[in-house]
Amino acid sequence: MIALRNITKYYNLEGGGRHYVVKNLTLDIPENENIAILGPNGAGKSTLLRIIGGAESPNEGTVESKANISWPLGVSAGFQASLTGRENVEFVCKINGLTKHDTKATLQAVQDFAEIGDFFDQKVKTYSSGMRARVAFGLSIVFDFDYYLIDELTSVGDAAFRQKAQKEFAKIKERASLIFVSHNLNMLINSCDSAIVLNKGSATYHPDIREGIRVYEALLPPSARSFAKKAAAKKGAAKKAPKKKPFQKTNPPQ
Amino acid sequence: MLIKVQKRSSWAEFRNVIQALLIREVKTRFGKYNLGFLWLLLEPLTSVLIIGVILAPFRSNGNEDIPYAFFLLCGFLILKTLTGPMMSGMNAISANQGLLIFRQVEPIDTFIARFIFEILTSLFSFTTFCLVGAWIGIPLSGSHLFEALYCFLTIWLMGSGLGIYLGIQAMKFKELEKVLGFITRPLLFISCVLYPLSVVPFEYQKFFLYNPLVHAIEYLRQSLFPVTYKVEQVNLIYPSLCALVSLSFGLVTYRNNRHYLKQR
Repeated sequence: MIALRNITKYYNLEGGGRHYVVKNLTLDIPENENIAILGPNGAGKSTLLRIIGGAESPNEGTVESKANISWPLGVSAGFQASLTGRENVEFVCKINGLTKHDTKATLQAVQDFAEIGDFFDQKVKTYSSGMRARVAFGLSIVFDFDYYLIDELTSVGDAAFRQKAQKEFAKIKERASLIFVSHNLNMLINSCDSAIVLNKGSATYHPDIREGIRVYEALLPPSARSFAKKAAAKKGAAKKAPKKKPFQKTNPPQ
Repeated sequence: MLIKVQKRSSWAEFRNVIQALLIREVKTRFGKYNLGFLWLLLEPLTSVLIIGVILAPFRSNGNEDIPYAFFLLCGFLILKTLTGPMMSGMNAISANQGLLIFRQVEPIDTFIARFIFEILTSLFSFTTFCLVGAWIGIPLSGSHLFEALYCFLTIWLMGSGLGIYLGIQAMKFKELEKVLGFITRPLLFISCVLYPLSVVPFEYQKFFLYNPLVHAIEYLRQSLFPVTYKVEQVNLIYPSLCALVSLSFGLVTYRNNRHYLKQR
């Protein structure tokens, strides 16, 4: 379990004033389930994930956990741009206290997973965002984390990487929890059990992902509630049998 | 393959992080030069050569028993022990931003690794020059070696405190990086790097003695050439106090700003 206790995080705005991302947030994140963090843009989803992952420190409050938590795996992927992929992987092995033997094995595993060829020995600043995500994710799955923090990781990948990642997610699900930040509701509904909805500095936990998505969509303008619309359409379609095909070709008038 | 990360003491983890950051530092600093480590020695040597040639006609150091090249080297090395941590501390955080994403890496670690790198390079050059000097017959004395090393240590701690302070301020004021070069330049001329304190008119010496660098540089020369080089007014207490004040100042600044050092 990860226990967030009275977390407050704010940024100082230019020209004075503070922007509160989360205010006095207390939340228990259960284990053995996949959780989606939902919220409108700027609600602080990524920041919350970074606080959980130790990439950012809260202004007040603590994150208590005995579990091994990954670093936030995101689009920016968190690598030192002036080092090569290999050097970055070696760095992570070193700070985790891995032996030489384990480091060697890790390098090989990451190289095999990432499939970026010679780029592994090029500076990370020359990488595309997809390549970064490949190396970062490939590295994270080597470690036996209890929680994996995934911040829009697959959105930058190509179909091959996404497929690979989905396969790994399924494997991770057997032994650890995944915490997702994503706007891809279809992916979330397939991969997650529960949801945390962030809005205006506060957070609520919903044990059912569908419930979470409903609460989240209620925060959006009605025209943007794609999931609610789909559900309504499904209901409507179920009533009106036989189902009408949406893009039925009609014969052009002669 | 799945690797279970062993639980370590926080001290062991800290050591691992510093080691990893040091390796990264060495790679990026020397990796791009073919001559690598040799630059550590060539850099002060070229300064000595250039300054020595320019100043040769006006030379009036009054202590002909201590070779002028060595006299200058002492000054340059101490000065570099101050400006080194200041300069590398200034962008310690921005240069390691990508690595701060890992929970093990705290912003202070990037400072510590860089400062360790600086003192190691300073002491490496100093030792090499002393060994070479002794080998070619310069009458260096080893009897005050401890004091000589202490001169480096105290100035290094002072530079480190300033480095932390500057590193944090540079995140707010980007101009600092450009300005600092101008600010530290005059130190070369007012810190007795190029001339001994004894050539300064007596009534002005008290102003020079407010500069802790003057104490450390003159003391270093005196401890390397205790018989021929005598300086009355300098001591190691004053620079030690300066180091203590600077270090506390840097650490307090760090503590007050710790929340927003680890964020994008």
